[in-house]
Amino acid sequence: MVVSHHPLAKFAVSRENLIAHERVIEEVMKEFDSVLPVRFGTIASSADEVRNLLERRSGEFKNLLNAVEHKIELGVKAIWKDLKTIYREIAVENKDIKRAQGELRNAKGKRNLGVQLEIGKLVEDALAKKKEKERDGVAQTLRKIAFDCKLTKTSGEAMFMNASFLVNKGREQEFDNLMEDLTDLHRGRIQFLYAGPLPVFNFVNVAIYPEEWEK
Amino acid sequence: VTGQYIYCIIGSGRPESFGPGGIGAQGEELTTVCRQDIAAVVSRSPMIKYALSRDNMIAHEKAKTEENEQSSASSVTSLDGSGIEKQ
Repeated sequence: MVVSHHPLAKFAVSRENLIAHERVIEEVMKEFDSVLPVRFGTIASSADEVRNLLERRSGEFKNLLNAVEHKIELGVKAIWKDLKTIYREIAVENKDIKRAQGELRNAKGKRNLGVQLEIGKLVEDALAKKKEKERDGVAQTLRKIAFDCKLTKTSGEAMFMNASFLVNKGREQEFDNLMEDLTDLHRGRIQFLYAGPLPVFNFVNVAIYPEEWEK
Repeated sequence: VTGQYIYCIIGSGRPESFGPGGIGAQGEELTTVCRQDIAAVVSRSPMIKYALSRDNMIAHEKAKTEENEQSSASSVTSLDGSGIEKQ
């Protein structure tokens, strides 16, 4: 039987189910030193199908199990606490923005849509560059004790880093200390959201496609 | 019709049990299906299609983010704003 051929009952992909999936993996991680997360929503029709899958992809799974052994994922988000300060810095740091703002002032209240649009675009670009620069600074510090780092899309204007680090379990405390140092160093400017230890979701995500069950 | 929902893969050659707590309202038992020295952690589940659409993945990310941010807010408060604490 193939998953995709089965009469489908629509299943609500609820927050509860998604969290349950992750929670199970986190529980298993407490007992096993190497765990490969499987993509949410993977269902085989029988235990035999699961065994077949394990046999067919055993080489790949063994390599991955070795690769993530004794490793954890730590998630770090960095968010500017006060965007007004950031925009003020951008205006000071950027010659073109200063010039355009000067032009606007010289126009003495006369509306100048062209210049306004230009400023908007310049500020947008400058913000993106500033995010990149500050992100690289923070990530570089943390990367020193990580095997790998994955940058994920940020959300919102104020977030400039959304990163996952693959770290040896034995160095978690060291990473904690680095995070404390960063927090102290950037107090008043950056809020850090630090999560973990997590399953290595951003480094391994085993996908099993319905058509595979047939082979 | 009952299927086997797969959570993760571990390096274990013998049957393991992780108690109840599987996906779905029933809190099914979590067990393993082994093949030589690797195993899949599974629980019984109806054969349903979890539509893995982009929207669902976004909902997933959002749920995770909210959880992190909620717990982060409380831990920062508890530390009197003087530090951060991992979730």
